[in-house]
Amino acid sequence: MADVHGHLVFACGSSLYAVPADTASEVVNLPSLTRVPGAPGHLLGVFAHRGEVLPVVDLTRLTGHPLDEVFKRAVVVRTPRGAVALPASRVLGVATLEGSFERLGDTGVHQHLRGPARAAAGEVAIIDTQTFIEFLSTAG
Amino acid sequence: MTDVQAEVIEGLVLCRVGEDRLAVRAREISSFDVPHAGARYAGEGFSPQARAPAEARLLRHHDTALVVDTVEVHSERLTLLSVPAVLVRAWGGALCGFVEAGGLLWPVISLERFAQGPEVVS
Amino acid sequence: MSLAASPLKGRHRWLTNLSTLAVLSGLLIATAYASVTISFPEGTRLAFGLILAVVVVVFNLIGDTIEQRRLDTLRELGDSALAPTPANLLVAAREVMRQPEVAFWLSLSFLALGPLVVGGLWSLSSSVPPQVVLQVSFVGLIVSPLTATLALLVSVPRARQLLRELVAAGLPVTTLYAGVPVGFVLRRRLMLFAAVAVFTPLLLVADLALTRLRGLLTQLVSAPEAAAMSALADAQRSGGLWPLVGLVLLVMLMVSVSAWLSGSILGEPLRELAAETGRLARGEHGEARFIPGEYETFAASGAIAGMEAQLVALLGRLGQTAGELSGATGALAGGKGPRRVQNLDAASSTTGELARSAKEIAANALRVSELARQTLAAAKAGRDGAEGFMAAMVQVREGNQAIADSVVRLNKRVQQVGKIIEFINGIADKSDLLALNAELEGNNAGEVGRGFSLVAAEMRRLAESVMHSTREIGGLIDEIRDATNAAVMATEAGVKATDAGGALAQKVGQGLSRILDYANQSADAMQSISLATSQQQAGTDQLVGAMAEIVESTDASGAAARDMLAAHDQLIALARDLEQTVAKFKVRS
Repeated sequence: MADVHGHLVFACGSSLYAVPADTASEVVNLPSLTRVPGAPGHLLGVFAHRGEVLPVVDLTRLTGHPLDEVFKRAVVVRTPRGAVALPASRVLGVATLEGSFERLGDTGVHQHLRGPARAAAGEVAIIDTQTFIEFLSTAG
Repeated sequence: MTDVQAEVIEGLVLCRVGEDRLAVRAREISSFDVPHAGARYAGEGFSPQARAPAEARLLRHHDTALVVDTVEVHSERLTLLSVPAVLVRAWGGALCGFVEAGGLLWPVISLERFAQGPEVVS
Repeated sequence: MSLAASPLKGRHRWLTNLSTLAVLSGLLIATAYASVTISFPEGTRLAFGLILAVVVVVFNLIGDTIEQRRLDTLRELGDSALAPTPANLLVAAREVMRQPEVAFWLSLSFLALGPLVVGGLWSLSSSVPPQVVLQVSFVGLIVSPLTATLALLVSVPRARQLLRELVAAGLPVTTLYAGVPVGFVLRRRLMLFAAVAVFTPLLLVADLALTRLRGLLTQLVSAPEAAAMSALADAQRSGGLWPLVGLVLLVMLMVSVSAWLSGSILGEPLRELAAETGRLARGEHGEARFIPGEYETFAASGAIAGMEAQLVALLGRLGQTAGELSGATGALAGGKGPRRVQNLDAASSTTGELARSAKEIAANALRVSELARQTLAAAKAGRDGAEGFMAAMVQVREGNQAIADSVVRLNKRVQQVGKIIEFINGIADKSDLLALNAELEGNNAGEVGRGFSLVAAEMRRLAESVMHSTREIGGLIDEIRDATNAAVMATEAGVKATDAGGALAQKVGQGLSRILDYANQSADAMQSISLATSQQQAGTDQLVGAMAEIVESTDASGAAARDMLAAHDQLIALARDLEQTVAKFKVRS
């Protein structure tokens, strides 16, 4: 599978993730978040951006390796199913990935991660944004 | 971006719950009262161990009651922002949307649904 | 030595003049007698005369030398070589009183030995018959006692006169009486005078008669006829009588003079003594008067003078103390004397101890004073040191303060730099974000946006390198901030330490100043004490001396008081008796 559009690679904690560049609408500086009652633990809160409320999903909590890091930036991922902001320790930029694009697991969030792909900075887990947001909408 | 026509809200009660915030449509509240035993504390929506402070307020509507820390009536017209897809099911679907007031973002809840708890889904 | 001529000047010669005259008159008699009785061989008269003259001159010189040597003190007093002290005057008085005896013995020797020497020399120079030489010697033996007696007697009045002058020159009468030994030889002297007065004319006449008779018999034996014998007898009877009569008259004159003088030796002092005792008997007491005399008369005169002095003293003391006696003895009868003596003994020993203590205190005070002076010097040095230390601390504090101020200023600058860096960082961050989104947009724009994306990526790298630099700078700033904070804290601690040190040094300085004050005060006090104790010591020494004297005199007066107490009644009685006696004295006069 050829990486036609390229991927936006970002670090979250010690892991590298990538989202397809065409689903990554923007990189933003994270403002202070508003917590939402009854929201799951990986949903850190929401913030208003360009007249839209964006939920902030912490990948470290979602993958079961939570970090107490205060993220400065987030990658806004937009799909027809909705938009989320993924906090990033560091955004590396757009890159063309090579390597495996297979699912990394069969349960939880791992169903929506593919790889391992290779980037200049190392191995990258590619987020399948379409299914990922759907997964988030159905998950408690 | 959604094409849904943005709803406008007139009359909103802005509530503080610990360090968090909630907003309830004013028309959903019939009276403010002092809290009584058995009434749900809104803080539980953010942290299960949260307890109401001594000087709390009770939002009452018929048989429904919810305890918050402080209340403030906001009478300006505010645009109700839609709930992101990933949060539609939160707290039993009690979340109605968000408003921006005073430079802050407030989650707007349905008092009746919120008071019923997170498990009940309409 | 006084410059004024002494009244005793030349008196030693005056004293001996008359005795020399007596000797010369004896010589005259002897010569006259010899010329009458002795028939000189032809041609020897001139030699005899010359020898006689030489012997007289030599003997006179010897005698005079001996006599004057025995009057050395008197001569030196006259020459003012000796001070007219009572002791010197007493020695002179002894010399003067001895002089008549000296004159006697010198004259005796002169007249006895002189003719022997003359005869001897004469017989050696000329052919003189031994009989004639013996005759010459015999004449000397006969005449010498009379001459010696005369020399003694003529010296006595002058000696008396000189004694009066010595008394006038300041010789106390009592000293004179007590200091001159008295020989009780008046009776022997009077017997001698009488014997000389009787036997000298007798011997002369007998010798004369025998000599004339022998000469006549010799002429008669050698006469050729009776007529010549009778003629010789007639010639003897008529021709040689007058010289004999003259000689006898001369001898009688000398004897008479001797007798008169010997009488006056006794008579004059006795007359004066009688007058004196009469005066005493009349109760006219006064200063003891000097009455010159010899032998027993001198002793009697001394005794009367002593008696008068004693009487005067006794009467005076009696009169003076008569009134006080009763009261004094009454007071003493209280019996407080002995106890007071005991108290005084105790007080004296106490004052002795006090004197020793005072000495010790004075010595200690001196030592303490020295110590105080040393302490003062040490405290001064300490205060100076503390002041120096304080000044150094102030300098250190000022230095620390300056450092602290500099560090604070540096910190502010660093904070400003930090804010600038933060600002730069914010811009870089925004640039980064902007570039990132541009990259994303360029990427999503497809081939058209690829170049844009590359530029955006370069911009990001630039922004990232800026951020990296700002992070480094931020780290450096943090380090500087930590370092400056540490420096500020250190300098603050240093300032506090120097403040504390300064305060401590100030306290030490103040303490040393106080010590200095105290040391000053104590040094002053010690000097005062030292002065006071030395004064006290002097005072105590005087006190001890005074106490000793008081005790001594009190002992004496205590003993006297006891005696007086014991004899009180007797004294009163005696005083009454004496008063009556004295009163009687005056009534009779």
